[in-house]
Amino acid sequence: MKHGRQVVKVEEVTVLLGGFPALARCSFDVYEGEIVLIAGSNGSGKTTLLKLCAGVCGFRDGAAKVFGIDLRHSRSEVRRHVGYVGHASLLYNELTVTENLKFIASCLDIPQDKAFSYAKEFGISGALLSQLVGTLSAGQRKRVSLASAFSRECELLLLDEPHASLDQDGKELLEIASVRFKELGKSVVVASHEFERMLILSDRRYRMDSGQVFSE
Amino acid sequence: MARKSWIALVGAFALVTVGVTYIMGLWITPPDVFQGNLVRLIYVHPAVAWVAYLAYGVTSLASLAYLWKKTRNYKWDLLAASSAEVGVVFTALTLITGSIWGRPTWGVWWTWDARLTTTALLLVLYLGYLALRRVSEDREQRAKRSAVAALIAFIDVPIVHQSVVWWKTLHQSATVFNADLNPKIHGEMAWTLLLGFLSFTVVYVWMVIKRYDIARTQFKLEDQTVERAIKERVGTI
Amino acid sequence: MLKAAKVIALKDLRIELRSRVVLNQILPFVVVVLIIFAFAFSKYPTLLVTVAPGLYWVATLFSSLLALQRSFSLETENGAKDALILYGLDPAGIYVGKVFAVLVEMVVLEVFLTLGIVLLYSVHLHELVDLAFTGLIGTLGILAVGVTFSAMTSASKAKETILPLLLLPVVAPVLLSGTKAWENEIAGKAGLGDPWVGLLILFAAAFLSLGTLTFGSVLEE
Repeated sequence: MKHGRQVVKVEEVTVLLGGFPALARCSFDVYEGEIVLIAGSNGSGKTTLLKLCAGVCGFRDGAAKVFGIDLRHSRSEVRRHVGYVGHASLLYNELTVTENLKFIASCLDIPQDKAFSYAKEFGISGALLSQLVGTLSAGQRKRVSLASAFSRECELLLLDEPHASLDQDGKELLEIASVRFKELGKSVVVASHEFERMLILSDRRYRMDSGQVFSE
Repeated sequence: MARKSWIALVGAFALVTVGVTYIMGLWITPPDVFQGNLVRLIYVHPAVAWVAYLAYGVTSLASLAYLWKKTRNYKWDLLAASSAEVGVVFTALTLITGSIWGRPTWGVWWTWDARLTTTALLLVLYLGYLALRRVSEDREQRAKRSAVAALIAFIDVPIVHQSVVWWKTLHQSATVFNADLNPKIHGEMAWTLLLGFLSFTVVYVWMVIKRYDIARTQFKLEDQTVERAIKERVGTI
Repeated sequence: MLKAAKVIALKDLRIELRSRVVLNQILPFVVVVLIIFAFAFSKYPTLLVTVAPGLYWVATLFSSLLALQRSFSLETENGAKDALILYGLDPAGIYVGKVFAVLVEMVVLEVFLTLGIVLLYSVHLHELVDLAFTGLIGTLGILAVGVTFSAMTSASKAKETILPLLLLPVVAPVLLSGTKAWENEIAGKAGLGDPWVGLLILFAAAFLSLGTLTFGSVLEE
């Protein structure tokens, strides 16, 4: 099943959160153009693994590379090539959806139209755009976060529990977008405990337990 | 010789030199014409103040060494922390001995003299540094942030000093280090003074080594705890 | 770097225009401080004129603590600080943008503060340009250090207590120099050539450089 260039290579990595090994000698890899699922119970280390790959947290032992860039020395370099959606919305409550999208577009140096067209793809358009993010529902906020991550059109997209708080419609939109990205040769990693949903779409499945990754 | 005996030797040397300074300062040297026995504080007070500055200098250099990527190593961070802690103790001692000296000489425990004010600010500056070290849990984050804070303090000290000196000299003449009060230093007094500097510097070296060893042991202990936690986590599968 | 600074500063100022936290909460705080100072010196009302420069700088210092905390609570709210890192923005740019945005807010506050001093304490101000420049450069110095310390502490549990402990001793020279420069300027003794103003410029320049160089180390977790 493995094909193409290796995008993520994590070997025997340990990540500490306040002294606790959230990842314990964890190994994991992702290849070009595949959708990878990571399942696992709460506290198994899914979030930490995705944060590690996104270059937002450091690690102790082992080796980790994304696009061949060493995460130990060049985390900021990695961040430029990775899209990430986590539990926090990463949005400003006191700005409208439009203002948030414009801000993100100018941070990322992408055309604003692109951010808005992705937002539309996730069902965020019209009157919703001029609403303050703080007044949106959790599901709507998730859609904005997803849209902004997709709009970066990175080669690697890391989605942490993207299904959480999305309705049926939203979940379907997410799946459509993920498949489209895969077909463009990009890699999508989804951590979720709603495993069955994306089962048919995924190329490989992993299970996490006690800070380690196992193949299914 | 083993590392441990070296440290013991430094400790013993510190003890002996402090002991000799004590005897010289209290019994051998004569009292001053103006200040009487009070002058004996001169064998302690300036030496203690010197050590405080030395300690912060070491903290700054070690912090710089940590921030510089080529020399980045946790050892520098631990050294910076150890030296700052000893520095705070010596800054407090400087203020206390200064106060004890000031009360009979100037009639007050405290005066807003340039040196006193600078020293007091120095104390809170590095108390802040030590407090900052306690708030982050992540090793790397703590090391980086406290190194930056140490550099801020390092740049700040001369500016603080300059502003405080101007503050006093532009409005009233300096009264504390009045020439009339300055003791005439000669003979055994000079030697004792020099010995005081030497002995307290050795005390500083010994204290920093000790504190650094504790910090390193703690560091290793954390590593062992983590290793055990990893084994436990891996073992549960 | 300047592009990132502009994006961050505009975003912060837009949020402030929308939420008006600085205007609706910190500004009243400044007024209360002015009134409380008047209570403290109630026995000698004329003393207020003499100590007005010092009070100005104390009030500026305290309100900049609040403005800094507000500025960084925005970033911790929804993990937005992580986002800034993820977007690959230049840390130096983030730093400059933050300093600039809070500076703009502080300038507005200080205009009201100056008005308050004139009206409530009956202080006669001349040389307004000199005073304004001194106020600006001193505030810039406070914020140059303040933004670094706020970024360090904003995610920690003890953020409210540790920021003043770190910041106040470091900016003590600004308080001193600012007060002296204002005293001299009000008395017509010295203008911008005053060594105190020079010290303020030195302070701001030193810490702006250090902040720009080290903000990457501060921000990366």
